This record gives sequence, structure tokens and C-alpha cells, in this order.
Amino acid sequence: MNKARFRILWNRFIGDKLVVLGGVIALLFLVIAVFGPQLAPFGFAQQFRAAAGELLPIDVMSTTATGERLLLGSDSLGRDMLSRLIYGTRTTLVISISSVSMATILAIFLGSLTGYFQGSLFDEIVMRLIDALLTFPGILLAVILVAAWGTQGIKIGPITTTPELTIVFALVFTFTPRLTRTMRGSTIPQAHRAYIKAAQLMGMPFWRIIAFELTPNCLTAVIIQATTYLGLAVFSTAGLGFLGLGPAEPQPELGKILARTQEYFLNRQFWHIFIPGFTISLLVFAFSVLGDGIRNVLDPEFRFEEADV
Amino acid sequence: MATVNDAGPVFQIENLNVHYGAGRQRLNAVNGLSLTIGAGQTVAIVGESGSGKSSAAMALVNGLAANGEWDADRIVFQGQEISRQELMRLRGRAITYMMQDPSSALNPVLTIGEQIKRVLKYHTSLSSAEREDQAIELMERVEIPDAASRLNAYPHEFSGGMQQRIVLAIALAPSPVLLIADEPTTGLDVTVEAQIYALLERLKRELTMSVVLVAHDLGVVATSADEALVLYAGKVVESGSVASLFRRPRHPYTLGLLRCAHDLHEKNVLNPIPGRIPGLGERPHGCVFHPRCAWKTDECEAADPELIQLDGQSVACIHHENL
Repeated sequence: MNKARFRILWNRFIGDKLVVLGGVIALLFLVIAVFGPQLAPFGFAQQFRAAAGELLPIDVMSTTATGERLLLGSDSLGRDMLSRLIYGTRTTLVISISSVSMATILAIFLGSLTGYFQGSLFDEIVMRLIDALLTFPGILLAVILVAAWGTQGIKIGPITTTPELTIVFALVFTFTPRLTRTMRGSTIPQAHRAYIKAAQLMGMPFWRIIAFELTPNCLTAVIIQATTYLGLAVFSTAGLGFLGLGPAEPQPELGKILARTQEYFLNRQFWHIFIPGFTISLLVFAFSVLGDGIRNVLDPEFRFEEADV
Repeated sequence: MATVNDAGPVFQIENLNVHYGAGRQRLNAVNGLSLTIGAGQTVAIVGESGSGKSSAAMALVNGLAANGEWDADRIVFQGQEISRQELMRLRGRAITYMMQDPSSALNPVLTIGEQIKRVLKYHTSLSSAEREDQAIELMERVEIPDAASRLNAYPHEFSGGMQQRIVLAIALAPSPVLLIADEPTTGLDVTVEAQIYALLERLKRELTMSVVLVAHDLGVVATSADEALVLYAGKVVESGSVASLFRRPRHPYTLGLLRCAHDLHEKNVLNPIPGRIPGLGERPHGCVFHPRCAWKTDECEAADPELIQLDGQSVACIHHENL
């Protein structure tokens, strides 16, 4: 991409103030996730006790027996809420981003192959499998898969995967079918274009044609969809965590933290739910708006003026 | 104009048939086409839309649509008889194909430099730096001004004529022995068309390459081809050297075509051949041209005429003496 074109796209991207806001928030969360261990005041599993020796009561701005001040209080097991929130953001983001990117890569691979070999046996088998997966509504498939695999990690021979990977795999299974369809859909019209024929007549092998000629022309739609799925992935990860299907204790995760805030209800501090709740909302908002911005940039048919109306 | 060639023909194909499967039907697009092309020669395949000329050209590079199939009795390349598989291995290397419409024949997301270099990468053992030089040389060869700096430009930054030059440069990259040019000037205006043909002619001589030219424009054929095959409804109705073919057409169809072109040019009136070319599924019995022919007799409907050898050309018409 040359400089002038990049400038046009960049200006289109930063032209929308909401997109910039979303981008800044997303970036902030990324910084928190990357530097989590440095930013968190305490460890996520560290338990604090009150002066009397019992676990710290759930309260905001509480002080421990040893004099540490916990800014957002502690949960029912005496663990620092702020640190858990920071580590939880990290877990949620790692799961969301890796599941969406894995699903996208898989979808680009499957979608371009099925699109290029449209109507072949391979295409039929893959697309029917995808149809089968699509019969499950959204997050339900992920719930079923995590429930089946367990939250302790999957045993594959001698190797046991981390609990996070279980959730990543479950989400990959839910996102890949839809992304593959998008990719296949944008591949089919391109596969019939003259330049593909030209490449075939040049004697190029099919994998080369797909990888270097076809795929670069078909990525726009799947990238737009993947960015909008990033918000959905955060939502799904937190949703699984909330339902008790997040990574096993003591690993923090935003949805799990949210579920634990139910305990504050007993303490009449219902507003506590807003701490993880707001974090999740902000993340989803940031990614959704960012997805819109990327669509504005990449979609040649999407007019900016229309978006402002 | 024809080059004398002692090494025998560069490429020869005998009895080429192309058919397409449509449901349970089998539709013949090309029937028994034989083609011989010498070194440095240009052989034109002439015909109107639907005559099967593109199908014939596509078959030579095995580029037919998924439902298309072809067979031939004999394929000879540079004096050696080769199989279909061997022919397929030659495509993209010794035999290259130049697409019709330059605006869609180039990949819109790759720079033209990348598009030329990837062909070199796949078909030669040149290093990356050598490929770069070779790409610039190819672009200079097809007369693209300021080649070195245009290497990083995208196809849409070029005009139609320049795009077709790039398509030609890509087709020339593996140094082919035979170039198949399928109506290389479709969608280009007349002045650009003349430039492209002049360039093709010059390069053909410089690189001692043979060309199969698919065309419907008789003017183009007259100026740039040595030999021509006139195709009608999938059959060669007449073939021979352009000089004799144009001086004395022996087939009513060729005569009609030439008369059309002549009248349009000289008197500015169009006298078309009555009727239209039959579709793939509605080829008439006997001579394929008889429903539109002024010389038609009952014999024409009865049997399909064989190609009759005359001096300098051959013709598939029993009435050729009467013309």
C-alpha cells in the first residue's frame, strides 16, 4: 500500500470521533492486559486477612491486618478486587483475541479452498459440517463444548491443555462456521475472474493461486466480520465465565468476577456489580466501535456520509 | 512474409475436438480442427462469436471451463510428438496465453512488478535481484515508459493499452516458443489496437516466437497473420496463407465475410450474411453453413464436406469451383 492511499484510509478512520474513542479504550485495555503483572498491586490468588485474623470482609477501600489498602476491596475469599480485575481483563482478552484470530485464520483457509473448489466433494463435506455447527445458536455451542470438555483443560495423550485453551477451542468452533461462509462467499465471485484464469494458464499450482492471487482479493469482508466478532468474543468469554464455565479457580476472568459480585448483594453493596460489569461493557463497546471504524476504512461501498445520518 | 522453416513446425495439432457437457447433452464446440504453425509464424483463427475460436485456443492450454473437454489425434511440439500431459506441462513455460480483457486479466491487489516477478519466480531459476532486472527489461520491451519506477504501480493506475502491454509482458516472461493471443485488443480503441499489434509483430520477430492469434477482425488478420483458419460453427471451413485466402476466398462464408468488410470500408454499407450462426445444440446436418449459403444445393444438406486441398489453401465446400 502506498503512502497516499494509507493517508486516505487513515483519515477516514480517524474522521469518526467515536471510532477514535473506541480505539483509545481498546488500546488502553491492551496495555492493561500486556503489562498486567506489572500494574496489579497484588497477586490474583493472594488472600488478605482482617485484623481479627478471619478473611477480609467484602468492602470497598478496605485495609488489611498488615496495612495494605485494597482500592476496590476484596472478594469473599479475601483477594484483591483490583488485581483480579486486571488479571481477569488479561485472561478475557487473551481468550477473545486468540479465539477470533484462530477462527479467522481457519476460516480464510477453509473459505478460500471451498470457494475455489466450489461444488467439489471437499466443498460439500466442509459446508455440510459447517451447516451442522450452525444449527446451534451462538454461545450455546460454546457452552456445550466447554461443559463436555471440562474447565480443567483437555487431555490429548500425555499433554493437558490449559483451561483457557478449552474456552478458546470452544469459541473457535462457534466463530469459524460463520466466518468461513463469509470467506467462501467473497471467494466465489473472485475465483471466476479473468486474472485467476490467467494464473491457471500460467501453469501455477492451485495452492499458489489460492494463497497469492485469490485470497488477498477476498479478505475485506472476513476482516470486517472478525473485528465485529472481537466484541462478541469478549461477551461470550465473560458469559461462559459467568455461567461457571470459565477457567478453573484461582484464575480470574471478567465473567467469573462478575458472578462473584453477587455476593455483595448480601452486603447491600449491589453497586459492586458495576465494577466488572462496566469493564466488560467498555471492552465490548470499544471493540464494536473499532469494528465499525475498520469497516468504514475497508468497505469500498460503505459511504461515510450515510453513517453520519 | 511467411518464414521458411527447415526444422519443421513448432507446433502441430491434428483433429482437435472440443465439447461441453450440458446436463445429459454433449455439445461440440470445435470439430476436427487441425493446426500447423512454423517458427516465427502467426496463424490466425478467425470466426464470429460462437464459432468456437476461443474454445480451440483455450483447449491448447487446457484452460477450458469445468464442463469442457477436448481431444486430439496428434500433438507435435518442436518436432516431437507429445502427450496431453506433456502439453499441459508446457503451458505457462513454452506456451503462454494472453488474455482478452486486460482490465480483468491483472490481479487488482498486486503491483505489476509482483505480477511479472511471480511468473519469473515460478518458471525460472533467477535470483530475486535478477528477477527485478528481468521484470524491468520486460516492461521496457513492451514499451512501457519509465519502467523501473512503474514497477510498484497497481494495474488500475494504467490505461487499457498499457495494461495490455503488461499482460503481454507477463506472457513473454517465461520466454515462450508459442504465444496464444486471444483477441488481444478487445476493449481497446483503434489506435491503441494498431500499436499493440505492431508491438506484437516486432516482439515476435525479435524473440523468434510463434503466435496463434484469435481474432474476428479481418483487417487485423490481413496485416499481422501469415496463415489463417476460418472457423464457422466449430468447423474449419477454409484455411491457407492469408495472401491467397484474401485474394481468392474459396468458401462462401469467407467470401461473405470479406465482402462485408470490403463494402463497409469502401462503400460504407454493411451487407451482412443473412441468418445467424447456429447455436451449439442446433448445428444443421450436412454442411454447417448451408442454411445461410447462396450456393446451397441438395448435396450440401446431405453430407458434411471434407477439406479439399487446393494450391495454397484448403476449403470445405463442394461448390468451391463455382465461386
